[in-house]
Amino acid sequence: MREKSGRRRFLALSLRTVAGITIGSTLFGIYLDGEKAGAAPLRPPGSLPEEEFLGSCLRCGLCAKDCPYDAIRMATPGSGVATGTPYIEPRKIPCYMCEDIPCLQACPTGAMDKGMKHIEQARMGLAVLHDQETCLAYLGQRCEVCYRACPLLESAMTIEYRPLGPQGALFLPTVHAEACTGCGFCEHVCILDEPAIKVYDISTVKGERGAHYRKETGDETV
Amino acid sequence: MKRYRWLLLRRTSQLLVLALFLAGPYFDTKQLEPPADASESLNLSPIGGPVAVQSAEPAVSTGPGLGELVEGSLNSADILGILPLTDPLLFLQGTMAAGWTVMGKTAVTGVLVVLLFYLAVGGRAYCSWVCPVNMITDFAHWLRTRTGIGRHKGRLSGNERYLLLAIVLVASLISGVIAFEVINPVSILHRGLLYGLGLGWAILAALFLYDLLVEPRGWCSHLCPIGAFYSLVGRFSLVRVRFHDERCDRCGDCFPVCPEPQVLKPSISGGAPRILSGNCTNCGNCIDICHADALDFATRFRDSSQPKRETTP
Repeated sequence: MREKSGRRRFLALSLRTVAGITIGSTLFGIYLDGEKAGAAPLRPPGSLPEEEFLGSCLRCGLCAKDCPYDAIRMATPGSGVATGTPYIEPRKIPCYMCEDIPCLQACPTGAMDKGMKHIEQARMGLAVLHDQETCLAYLGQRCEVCYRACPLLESAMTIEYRPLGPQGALFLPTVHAEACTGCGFCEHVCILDEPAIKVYDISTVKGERGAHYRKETGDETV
Repeated sequence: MKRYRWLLLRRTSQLLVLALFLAGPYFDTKQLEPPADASESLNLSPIGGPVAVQSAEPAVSTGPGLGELVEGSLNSADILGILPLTDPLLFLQGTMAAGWTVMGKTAVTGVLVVLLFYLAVGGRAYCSWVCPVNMITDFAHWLRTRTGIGRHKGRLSGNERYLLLAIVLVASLISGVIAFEVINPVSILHRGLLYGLGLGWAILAALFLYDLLVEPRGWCSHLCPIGAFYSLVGRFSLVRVRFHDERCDRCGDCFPVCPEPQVLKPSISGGAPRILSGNCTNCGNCIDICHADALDFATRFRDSSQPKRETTP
């Protein structure tokens, strides 16, 4: 057997290394790409969209440390949220919408957008009253607990009056996407065992008209 | 005691680092408890009036308490609210995944501080003096040598870590996700102690068993990409182990205690006055065990008083 020359060995090693890096990082990359699929968890206020967030959040926990209400949790392996990233579970502790936004100030990177100056601009998610079959307001009672808990009362949430003939009327808590920050107070306070109103990832629940559609009727530009 | 001098200092340093970070949660100055149940947080104001939810603002803290000494975690931290620290490998992955500009000034400053520090004290001093996983893998190795479990030799060369380093960087680039953080046992353990471990214990247990039963010093000395990164830093770092050739009697005691025995060879068999390999973790195990005082810490620069070894033809 002829002994392999140094150059050939070097070439073989280089080839193996390149192949290893390519195969390894492709498989790992595909797996990681899957992390971005599905509904994003509720991120702290000002967080970038999930795709960019997972690339820029250092998983350090400074936001969680500076949250005065311990609303921000750090995901552990097996929690269903990308390991080490901060998230909010409003049913346990909602975002209190601090005016000085300490979590955002603490973030060492741009994973949380420093350009956001007012907490009302936060869009952590969108509250949706998803279950009209259990919501007490839809059953004819004047519950309105979620409405009263809303920090942006009358802008993010209103009570819509729906007459029901001689029997009376429904007083329906109604979320307005243009103002809702997704703080989760409504979900937090819902008196049902499982809340009828929850905060969702905006892309999961929000529809979008095509650009060619006219604006809604009643709009002066129509 | 001299026999364990550097080991004790090392454990003290590792525990101190943990204690400083843990001081945050335990001496927390947060004074406002979140409401215990829904009814408390309910606003009972007349309908229509905009109400602030935070009726009770958290009390203003009086200067930095013990809880604010060091905040964050090994991934990124903040000392006294002034000095940022950022894990450079994490930063590099973030740069790959999201781009340089998103990372921002604070993170860049933090990386520079950390890099300068480890350029001074030795790149992989991170591994042996700071990283909490080192205590787990050292324990696995101690148990392995004590009990004679898995007496077989390892199969890995130690270059696999550079492959893994390249893979986590390229995977970050491809996926746009900071790749290594999905499985990084260092941050899972460190964050776990601060915020809860979850299923992270399984990853740490697997690591321990791997080191105990499969590959001797498998993780820290062969696979860990953080170690690989700091190995590259260590090639240029200031503090290194000095070797006094004239005192060494070639007993070879330093080899079995060294986590990276290959780094000793140029000195023990070649007389090199410094252990210059970036893989050297500056752990001091060799200094502790040497009965001839042939090893100690010094700077990487050769001192003039040190006699040069006569080269044998």
